[in-house]
Amino acid sequence: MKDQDRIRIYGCLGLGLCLLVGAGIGLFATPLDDRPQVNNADLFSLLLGDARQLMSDAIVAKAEVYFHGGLEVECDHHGGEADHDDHPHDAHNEAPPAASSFSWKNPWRTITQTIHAQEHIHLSDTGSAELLPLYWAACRVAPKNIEAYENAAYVLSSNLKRPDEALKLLDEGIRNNPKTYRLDFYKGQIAVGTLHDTVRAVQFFSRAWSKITTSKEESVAQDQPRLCFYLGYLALQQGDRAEAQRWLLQAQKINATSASARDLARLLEKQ
Amino acid sequence: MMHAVRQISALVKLSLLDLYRRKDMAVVVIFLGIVIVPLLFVSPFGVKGASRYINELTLLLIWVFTAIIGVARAAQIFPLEIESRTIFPMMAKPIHRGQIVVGRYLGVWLALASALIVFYGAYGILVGVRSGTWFMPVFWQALVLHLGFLAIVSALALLGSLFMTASANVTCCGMVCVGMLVYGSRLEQFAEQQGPFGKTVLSILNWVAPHVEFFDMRHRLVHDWPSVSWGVCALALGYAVAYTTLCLMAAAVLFKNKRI
Repeated sequence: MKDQDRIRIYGCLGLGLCLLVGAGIGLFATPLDDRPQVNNADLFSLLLGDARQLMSDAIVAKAEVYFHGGLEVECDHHGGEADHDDHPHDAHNEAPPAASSFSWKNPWRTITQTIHAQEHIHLSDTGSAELLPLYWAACRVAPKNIEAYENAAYVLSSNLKRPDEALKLLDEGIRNNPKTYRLDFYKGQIAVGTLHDTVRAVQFFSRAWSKITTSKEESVAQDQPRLCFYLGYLALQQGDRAEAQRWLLQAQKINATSASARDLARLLEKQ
Repeated sequence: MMHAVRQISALVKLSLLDLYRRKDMAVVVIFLGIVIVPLLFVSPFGVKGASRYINELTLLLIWVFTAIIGVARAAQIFPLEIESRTIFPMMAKPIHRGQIVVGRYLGVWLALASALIVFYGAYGILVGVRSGTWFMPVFWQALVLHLGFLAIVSALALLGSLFMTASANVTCCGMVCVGMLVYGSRLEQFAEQQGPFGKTVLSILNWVAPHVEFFDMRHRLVHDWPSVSWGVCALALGYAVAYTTLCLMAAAVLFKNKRI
């Protein structure tokens, strides 16, 4: 046997052994239940695997850029939290950005800053329809992307005043992510804020509460007191003061200094 | 003078015919159609009128394809002529080598300009049909600046074709274009963050490298930003003309001294 043939045979054997060892490690390293079940998955799952989530996140980030008129700016839009008001939110058709003064030291900067848009703007409510194709794609690419469902529902309910379609979309999200509380929570917020339907809101929030207690999501600490506030507020609306009191105690038990607990206590004092 | 103009215009015509005979444009138009037309009929969540993503994709494709055609064509002019020996009958005529460079370059640029006008026309109609706004001032500014971009890119490729192999030239031009489009506007900022040596190198690069990012008005066009002043456009175009002239002068010198 020639040396070259021998090298080839040993090479093939070595490669085969490596593949076997790799497959063995892959097979026994992960418990059966935790392994992704790709046999019944769609073409996206088979071809892209976890890359779907990355793609979906990138599309959501792109939608954020669209919301800011093409600029990459970090700000929170629909959480209603404090950081929203620390920069101007002019409507889309405001005055053009002022050109920076010309400098001979670096003329390129003047041209770049003038030609490339710099100002922080937000899309108008009707203009937000532009975001929907991106959120639609993000939801389709990765049905586990909860943020995409939340954002799409926000645009549908708050900007385009189509809360029923937002609820349908969130239902689809819940079917795809049955363990998350966030989509039920958001349904409750739409029911309270846009539909003013307290009965359905209580149903949605109660379902969210049943999930949040076992949830391991990062936002639990922040959302638990908020959920208590909503449930207490709705109990007050329905005249059930004892129930509201119970939710206040629950909120204080979770985080006594939270704004939600304070607000609920204030509401109870007023009544 | 008139004689020189006539000679250059004959070369321009030759380049134009050459490009159109190759059917590159037809392939690009068909590909654009295949990508864009299905997207026109998509209305996610039943919402109609959302068109920015189509506009952005269309403009991106226009930028990519015109850059590819520009670089590829300009990079092939002289190597192909030399390889097929068609350069010799041309050089046998009483014409200066610099005129050959300018004539051939102008031919490629005009062919690219004609293709670009067709692409932008299609884009303008697409936007008009979807959103009802027809050919805003920012549209014309984007078109004019895009022509400036193509002028620089094809001049660079032509210059590179005289001292590099075709593949190396196309790769270098592609890297320079993409690099400057992504980092060009931040070069000064990067220079500030470096030590003395890095700062000097990046500052020189900032002055020497082709700032093709000046000509990218896609954001303004896609996101309906207001148009910029024509003075700034003229400044950017002046930059394009100056940079192109320098490249062509260098190319003329190289071509004059080249042993064929």
